Amino acid sequence: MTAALLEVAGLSVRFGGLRAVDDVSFAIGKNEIVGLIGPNGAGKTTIFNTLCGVIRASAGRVTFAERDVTGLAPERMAELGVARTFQNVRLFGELSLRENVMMGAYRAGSCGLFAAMLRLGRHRRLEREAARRADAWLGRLGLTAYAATKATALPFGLQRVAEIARAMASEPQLVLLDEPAAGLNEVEKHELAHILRDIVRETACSALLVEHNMPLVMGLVDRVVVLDFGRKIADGLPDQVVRDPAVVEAYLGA
Amino acid sequence: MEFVTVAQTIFSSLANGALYAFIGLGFALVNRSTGIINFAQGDLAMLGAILTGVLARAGVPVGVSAIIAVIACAAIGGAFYQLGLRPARRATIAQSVLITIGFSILIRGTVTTIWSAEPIPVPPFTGGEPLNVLGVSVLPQELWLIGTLALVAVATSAFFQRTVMGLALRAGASNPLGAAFVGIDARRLGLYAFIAAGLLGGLGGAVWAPISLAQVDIGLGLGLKGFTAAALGGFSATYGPIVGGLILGLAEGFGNGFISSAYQDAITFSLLLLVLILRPQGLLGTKPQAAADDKHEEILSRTVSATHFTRADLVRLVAGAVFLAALGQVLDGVWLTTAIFAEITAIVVMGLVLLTGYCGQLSLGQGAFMMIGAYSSGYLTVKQGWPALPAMALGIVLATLTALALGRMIFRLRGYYLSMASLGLLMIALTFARELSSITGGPNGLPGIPPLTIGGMSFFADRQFYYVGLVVSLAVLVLGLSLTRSRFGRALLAIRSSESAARSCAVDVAGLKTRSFAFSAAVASAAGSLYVHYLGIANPGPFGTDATIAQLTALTLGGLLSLWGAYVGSAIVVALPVVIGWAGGSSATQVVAGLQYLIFGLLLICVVLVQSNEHGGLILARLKTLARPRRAAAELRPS
Repeated sequence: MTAALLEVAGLSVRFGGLRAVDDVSFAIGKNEIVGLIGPNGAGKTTIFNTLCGVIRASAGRVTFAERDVTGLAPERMAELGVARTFQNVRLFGELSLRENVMMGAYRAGSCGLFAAMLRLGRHRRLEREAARRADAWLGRLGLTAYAATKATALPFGLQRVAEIARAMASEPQLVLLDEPAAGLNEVEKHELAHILRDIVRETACSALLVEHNMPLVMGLVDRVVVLDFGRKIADGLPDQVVRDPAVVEAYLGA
Repeated sequence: MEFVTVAQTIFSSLANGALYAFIGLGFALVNRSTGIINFAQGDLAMLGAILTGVLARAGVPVGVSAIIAVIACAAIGGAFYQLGLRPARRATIAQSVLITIGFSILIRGTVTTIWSAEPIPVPPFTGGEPLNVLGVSVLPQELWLIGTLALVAVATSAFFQRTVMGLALRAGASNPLGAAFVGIDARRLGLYAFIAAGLLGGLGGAVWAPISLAQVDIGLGLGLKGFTAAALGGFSATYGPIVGGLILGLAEGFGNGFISSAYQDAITFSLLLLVLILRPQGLLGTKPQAAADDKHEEILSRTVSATHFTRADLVRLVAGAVFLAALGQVLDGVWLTTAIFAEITAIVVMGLVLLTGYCGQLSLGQGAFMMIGAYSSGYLTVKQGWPALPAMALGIVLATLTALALGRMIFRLRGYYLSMASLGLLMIALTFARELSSITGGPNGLPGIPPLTIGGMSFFADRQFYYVGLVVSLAVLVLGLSLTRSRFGRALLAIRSSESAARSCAVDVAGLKTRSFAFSAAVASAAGSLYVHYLGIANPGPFGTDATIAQLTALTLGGLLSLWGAYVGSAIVVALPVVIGWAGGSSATQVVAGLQYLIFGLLLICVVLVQSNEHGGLILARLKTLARPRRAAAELRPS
């Protein structure tokens, strides 16, 4: 295997005496979609939050694009090209949908306060780029009609798609999706799976999907990592993993 | 120093420290149960002292006076919560804090109006003769104060550790929603906390008053010291404010003995800044846990276009500029002067729109940056013979650097540390302005500052200066508008909605807050320079806490997110005293000052109350609401 995009090695997270994540290692390759699954309390969200920089690991290393990123703050991870979505959708309520997606392009470059106040070329270029990306992603995901709408006024299903647009507008190398199907109905889930698969293929980015919904995961991902009680119990192709006795036991509690 | 002197200093310091501890306990109690910093805490202590004095003067025995005063303070604390904070259901923390500032001004205004600002002597509870203990002279009243504090300390600790209500208060503070689920009513807890805060403040003030004098002016200073005591010892620790208060008292006592009492405030507030920077949880406090979920401080259905200038912006800019330019031709005499002061205030308030409105950071110390500008301009033009513009520019640079340095240290922490840190900075700046007379001219000020001269043109007449103020304020307005309609404006609004989502978009939250603080400091410095060029003299008077109150009232009146509102709010705030003075004719200035505070306080509370239900400035937003429903409906319809 060529060098992985993201490598998690010996990751442990302890909350007081509780080992939420215990010595977990896995990798995500370039342009690969990996599912992270497990029963409630298995440590999925903890790993997710550690990768985003929200939680600090107690031990272990996270390497992204051959660079040690263990313990970096969320904004630094985002700068490096790790985008994320939120389980309970967090769009910016005071901005329009288009402006929300433009926020995704915030990392496209930096400029000073002066450049912004005086409308210097650097700021204008960044704004043009952000607008271009926002319009492209709104168009790609069929949201153009709602561009000027207050983002939080959209129906929930569209808000989920909008969040994906915001994440993708950052042109990430890796996108972390936190239960993207939560709260969606069957039709919406189906559509979401299609959208995710297509955009990951089109943009050549990688994705990590934390999800409860097994059919969605199994139909979408290239590889599955299964957690139980903070430990990794399986890692492989979806149809192999579902037959794995350890996985069956964890899910059915046999 | 001899032993007796040391012992004497320690004992006298402890008495002052005990008062700070009382006020600090009140701060901590309210903060722990509601998350609010109650800026009126010092004024409650002042009220306790004044009421005791007034009743004693009227012939009521002093002990009875004190008891009545304490009960009154507790009742007033509770009434304030019921009438001021409880109705503000949707208020953000910053808005709640603004309401308590309004409460503080209201108490001050009421006391000044009724009893004037004259100090009232209060007889001691028992025997006025000092006792002699091992050569140390001890006032019986000091023993009363320390004894009462000890009693209160034991009672508070027992209350929090051993009673169900104490437990409920702690639960409500740590997780209001969770507490509500198990049947704890957070509002009722808030009421109890404010009653207790009134009780503690009033008690401290009443028992302390005989040692000193009861005077209206002490309220704000006591509040700051009480807060410093709580911050020093730790808000979260039961005995934190007491330990902090005693340490603060000792630091002041020995500072006065060894250095100079003139620098007392500088010592106190340097201590406050140091603690806020190095150990924000306080000496005894435990580190607060990182908030897992950020609050959605979402504003009601209103989309702010932050992407680009709209035609409406341009129309407003042209119309506004033309209107204000025409106004300069109409106004005359005292009204022209008033308009100039309004312009200068508006410049500072525009900085606050960005910092407080957009960043949610409440600064109470913009006066410090105004002073940096004022004294740079004054000192360099008068003593060094610099031309006006480079002096002003240097002031702006100095203010910006100060804000960047302070911001870098303060904004690593979330929460409302900036309010206190900036107030501390203001107090330090005021001390230096008074004491470093070789540079600042001391309390008398630095006279003989030449009028503003730009490229050989001297702006001497009021009407000329009005246009200078107009050009500078419009420039700041355009820069501010430009900033709010840039990627930074979007990012700031994004932080308000969800800090964690903003960070996931690579927004450096602390960096952005720091830069906004620097912007607000730079424009405040420019305003300070303009001020002294207009008056021809630089003195600390116009930049103190009264200016802070005026700025915050103007900000609130105009609307936290409205740069144009800065003009409206500033005009009202600056014109109000003139109108009161004019209407009051020859009546005493004391009453005028008192009424002014009273009205400012009421305005602040009422406007925040209205806004916390319907966001935006009272005056501007009201007009906009009329057009809103149709537009909102149009926005939702896909084109």
